[in-house]
Amino acid sequence: MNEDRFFASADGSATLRLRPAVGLQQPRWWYHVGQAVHAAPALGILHRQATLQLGNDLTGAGELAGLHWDREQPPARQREVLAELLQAALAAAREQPAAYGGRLLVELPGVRDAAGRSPFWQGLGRHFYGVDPAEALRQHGPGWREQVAALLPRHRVYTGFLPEAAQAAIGAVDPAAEPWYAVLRDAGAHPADQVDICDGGPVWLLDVR
Amino acid sequence: MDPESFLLRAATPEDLPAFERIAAASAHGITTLPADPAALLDRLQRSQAAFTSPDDASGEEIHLFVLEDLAQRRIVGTSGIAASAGFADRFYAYRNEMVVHASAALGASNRIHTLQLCHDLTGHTLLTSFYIEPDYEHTLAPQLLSRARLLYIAEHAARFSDRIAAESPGLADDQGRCPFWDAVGRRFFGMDYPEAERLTGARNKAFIAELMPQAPVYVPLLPEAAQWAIGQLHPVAELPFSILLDEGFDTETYVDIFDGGPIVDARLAMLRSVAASRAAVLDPAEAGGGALHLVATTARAGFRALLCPATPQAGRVALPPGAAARLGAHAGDRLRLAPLDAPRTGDAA
Repeated sequence: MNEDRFFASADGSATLRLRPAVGLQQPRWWYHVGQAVHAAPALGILHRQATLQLGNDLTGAGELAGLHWDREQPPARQREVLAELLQAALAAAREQPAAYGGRLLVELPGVRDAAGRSPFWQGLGRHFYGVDPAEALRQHGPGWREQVAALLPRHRVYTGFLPEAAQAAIGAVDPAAEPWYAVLRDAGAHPADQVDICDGGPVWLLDVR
Repeated sequence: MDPESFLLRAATPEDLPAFERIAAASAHGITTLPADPAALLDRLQRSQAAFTSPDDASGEEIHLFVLEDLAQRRIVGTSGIAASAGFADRFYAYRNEMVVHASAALGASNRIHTLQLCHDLTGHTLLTSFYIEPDYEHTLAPQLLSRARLLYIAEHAARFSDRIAAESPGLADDQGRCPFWDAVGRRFFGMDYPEAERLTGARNKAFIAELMPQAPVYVPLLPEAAQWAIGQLHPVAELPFSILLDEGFDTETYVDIFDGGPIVDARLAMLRSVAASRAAVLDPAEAGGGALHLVATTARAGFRALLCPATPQAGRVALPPGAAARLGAHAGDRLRLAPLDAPRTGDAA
């Protein structure tokens, strides 16, 4: 039962993979988005700042991954197809909630600039791994994302040190993913305060208890 | 200028006018002297107490020295010692640390420079308050002004730490704008560096540092100007810094948490002037000749030091005419001497 399951919409225009407990063979990494408050009340100073902490917080959760759908269809139709897929995957997960840690994570793609580059990677990741993500994918395959965590900052990163475009990209979703994003929200998904280590895209969670 | 016309001595409250003049003349952040006369007088009184009190040292002591040009009958420089950095509190510094991030799978290995907020220098003895008038920068006066402090510490070692540190100002322009502060401190204070200093009192670091990030600063994330400023010296500090460098201080480990200027540190016993220093009893006879030495008295009260030729032998030394009088020393007094051109620690014999 602890194997990936694949789902396709009735019209065949969309597919989705349901994975049980992630990160148990190969660690998975995300940044936890937290907050730091530095205060000197006598000076009337109180600064809040978002922070990023590399970690494996979502290890053991199931995952909805490998989503493909036909983006040429009308938006309303896209949402219908995606909702159908999502409900099928959720129903399957609810049959074995323990295999999914009682929740499913969904990584949403982060924003890109006009040149197709991730401002989050430009502001943070590239200072720790100088290879462009597209090139890294070509050289090392999709597994590069798990490996690159070894090169990234282990201590809390104060986001004030990042360029504004990178800060704005933290937890921001690629507009092209909007139909999927809308379907997830309608299904009761909620943000996990975790973002992708490469592009800063948010992770959302669905309860399957 | 004749090096024998310089006299270093313990400062007294009567030196207040000279200190006011020097505090006003020194640029922003260059000395650790306050500009306020009342605060200066307080420092001088505390210093006098430190030189004269019969009590055991508490670590709170500050010692201030003045350099007189006897030919001109005026004070031309100051220096000081704080017995214990961050006394009764913490002394904050950034420690340069390199961490290696490696991934065999990606074939990548990177040395990442980080700045780690630390209290390592808490309790170290601090060299402070160095100022020399520009006309004297190219004489031997700065050597006497800076290094006589080390002879004082060596002589009264029980009153100080065996670890010595000194702060130097980092890069800043005439308006006090500072690239390191702009990239680091400003993000947590939201104000200019001079304003932060004014608000919190001169260099009251413990208070300010509560606002600074506790996690290491990843240097690659800083703008280039700020990265470059780490460990860089303000040009006005080059002379005193070079003297410390020649003494054998380590310049690589610590930087100031505000302006990124270097904080040097060393073990007292490893410093060139200390390692080469010898105690010697003053002969009644006067003598000329020998290499130039730093010659210091060994009593705390009325501490004095000067430069003159000397040839200490078998625990005794004779000084040229007039030198003993300028030191206020008498035959039979114990002195401490170090050759001006002492060999560097670790040099091959």
